[in-house]
Amino acid sequence: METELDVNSPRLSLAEPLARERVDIAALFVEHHLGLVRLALLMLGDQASAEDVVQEAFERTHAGRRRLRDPDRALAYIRSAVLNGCRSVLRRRSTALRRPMPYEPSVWSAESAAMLGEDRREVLFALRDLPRRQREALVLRYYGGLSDPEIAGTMGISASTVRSTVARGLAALARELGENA
Amino acid sequence: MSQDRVLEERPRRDRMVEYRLRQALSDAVNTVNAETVRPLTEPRRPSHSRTPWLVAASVLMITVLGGALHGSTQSPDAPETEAFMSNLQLAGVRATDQIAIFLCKDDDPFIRCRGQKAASEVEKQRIQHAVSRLAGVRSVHFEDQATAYLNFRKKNTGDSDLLRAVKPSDMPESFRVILEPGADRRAVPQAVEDLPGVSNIVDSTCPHDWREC
Repeated sequence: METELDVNSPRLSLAEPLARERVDIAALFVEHHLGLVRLALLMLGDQASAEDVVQEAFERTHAGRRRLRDPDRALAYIRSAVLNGCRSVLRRRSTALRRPMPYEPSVWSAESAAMLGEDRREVLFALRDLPRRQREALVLRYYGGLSDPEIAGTMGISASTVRSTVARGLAALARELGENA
Repeated sequence: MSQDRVLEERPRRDRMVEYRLRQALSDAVNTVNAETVRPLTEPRRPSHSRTPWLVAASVLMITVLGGALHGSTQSPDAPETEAFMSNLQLAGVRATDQIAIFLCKDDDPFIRCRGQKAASEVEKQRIQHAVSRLAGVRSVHFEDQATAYLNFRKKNTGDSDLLRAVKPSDMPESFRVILEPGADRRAVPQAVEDLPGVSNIVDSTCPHDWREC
């Protein structure tokens, strides 16, 4: 399951680019494309927007690739780019509707009902209703399998904030899901 | 390792939630796989600015689909159609109904262009010929790099970083196909998708994937 996902193997995939002078951002994007789209999907809820966000992030980082000197940061950099893209999509959606609308779409709702069991949907709905930071931290941890420092680097917050955010997120999910036993 | 020990010490409640969360996320991401994901396309395409209306369009689609599929089972707070339509207008949904066939450039990262040079004149002629003989095609016109670049600048006037970074030579050439009403939209991409020199095809009415048209 998570072990086969792209965003899981930062060191492995960076080993090769490290040998080179400059990081090939385009290649990194291509290599991690599926994992990044999946990350965006969990943030946005529908595949089309997820693909679009990754494509845009790809284009932007491509334009600025000369500025990226540190190969160790490359993967965190592209993850951040995708995450930022997701944030703007969510912002645009809620402004367009003139009311808060975290995200509605397919993974969490209609079409996927048949594909995802009731329990999965219940969890995803609960996740959807969390504050943005908690949602992001939980997805990076439990989908991406990232460590606290890696999540910190991606979200631009400190590792200790990551720890407390994950803990609060889990607690909130537990409350929502009635895991009170 | 140390994380496992921490896990052991956590209350059962947290472990249950973690388990359910992992399962849910894993199932959710598995709805997207390598076969269905739209491949990355070459940076700096003229259709770069499609995002805002894509978002609006996908929101609309979701609502429509959601409404249709939910039926009477549940439909919590579907926003009203009117609001959606005005949002679509605000977001600048393009009325232009065309299919763009993008062509390979030198060293193009597109999978279809790998190991190839830019589309040659002969390849372009073949592509144009393959399209113009289809039924229901009103017009096919060629868009060169300079025109693509001008359009791109027009669409991205607010983004100075982007405009500084992009040169005319970054833009792909393309054929722009306009169809008669009611024509079979999929016939166009189907006719050219495997021809050498084609990098990718975007139908403005279903920009995510022309196969959904």
